[in-house]
Amino acid sequence: MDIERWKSQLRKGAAELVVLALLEEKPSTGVALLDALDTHPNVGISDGAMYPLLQRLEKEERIKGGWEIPDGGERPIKIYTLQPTGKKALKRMRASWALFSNDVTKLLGEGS
Amino acid sequence: MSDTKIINEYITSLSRHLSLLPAKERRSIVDEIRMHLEARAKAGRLTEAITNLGEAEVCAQTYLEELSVSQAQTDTENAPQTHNLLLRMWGRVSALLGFGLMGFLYLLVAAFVFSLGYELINPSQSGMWLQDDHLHWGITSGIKYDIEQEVLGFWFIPINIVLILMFFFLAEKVGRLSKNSVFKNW
Repeated sequence: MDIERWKSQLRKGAAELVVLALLEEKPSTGVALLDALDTHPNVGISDGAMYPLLQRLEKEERIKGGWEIPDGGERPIKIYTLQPTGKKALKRMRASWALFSNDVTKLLGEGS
Repeated sequence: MSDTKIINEYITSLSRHLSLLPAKERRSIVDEIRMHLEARAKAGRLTEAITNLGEAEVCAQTYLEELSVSQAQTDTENAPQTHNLLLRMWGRVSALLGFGLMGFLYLLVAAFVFSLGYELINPSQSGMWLQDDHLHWGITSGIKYDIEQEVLGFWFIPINIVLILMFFFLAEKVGRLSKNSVFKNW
C-alpha cells in the first residue's frame, strides 16, 4: 500500500480547514502561514500546495488578499484576511471535522 | 548564478506556464511567488524554497488544477447539473464563435493594410469612390476611375490606419476572451 499517497489525500481535505483556522487567529502572508506550519510537519502542506490553495480560497471569496508595504519594508507583501463567507465555512467545517474524527477514532478504537 | 537571476528565471518560466490564465490573475500569482522566493532568499533558503515549490511547470500545473477545481465547485454550487452542462456547452460554442470572429477581424485588418499600401503606391486606383450609384472601397480592377468620383481623397489614408488599429485591437480582445473561455470550459 502506498502510505504516502493515502496521507497526501488525507491532508488535501484538511489543508483548507487548517489555513482558514490560522487566518481566523490573525491576518497573515503565505510565508507566515508556512512558517506557522513548520512546527506541525504532519499537517504537511507544502509551499507548492499552499499558494494555489490561497489563490483558490481568494477566488471563492473566503479570504481576501491585499498588498501592503510593511513597516520598515521596501516591497509590498500580500496579506490574507478571513472573510465572512470564510468564517461561515470554517464553522461548518469545524463541526464536520469534529463529528468525523470522533467517529473515526471510535471505529479505530473498536478495531484495535 | 545570483539569487536574483535564479528568481527571475523561475518567475519567467512560471508566467509562461500560466499563460492560459487571465493576465490579472497570472500577475497576482507571479508577484506572490516572487515575494515568497525573495523572502526565502533573504533567509538563505532559496534552493530549499524552489525544491518545495517544485519546478515552475509543476507549480503552474498545481495552480491550474486548483483553480479549475474552484471553477467546478462554483458551477456545482450555483447551478443544477443540466443548467451547468448547458452553460459549459455555451462556453465552448461561444469560444469557437469567438475564434471565428477573431479570424474574420484579422482578415479585415489584412484587407485594410492592403488597401492602405495600394493607396500609397498607386493613389489613382484606390480609395473610396462612387461608381454606378454605389460606394466602393479599396482598389479598382485596373480601370482608372474618375477623380471627381472619389469621396475621401487624402482622408483615405488616416481612416484606413484608424480602421486597421481598431480591428486589430478588437481581434486581440476577442482572441483573449475566447482563450479564457476555452480554459474555463475545457
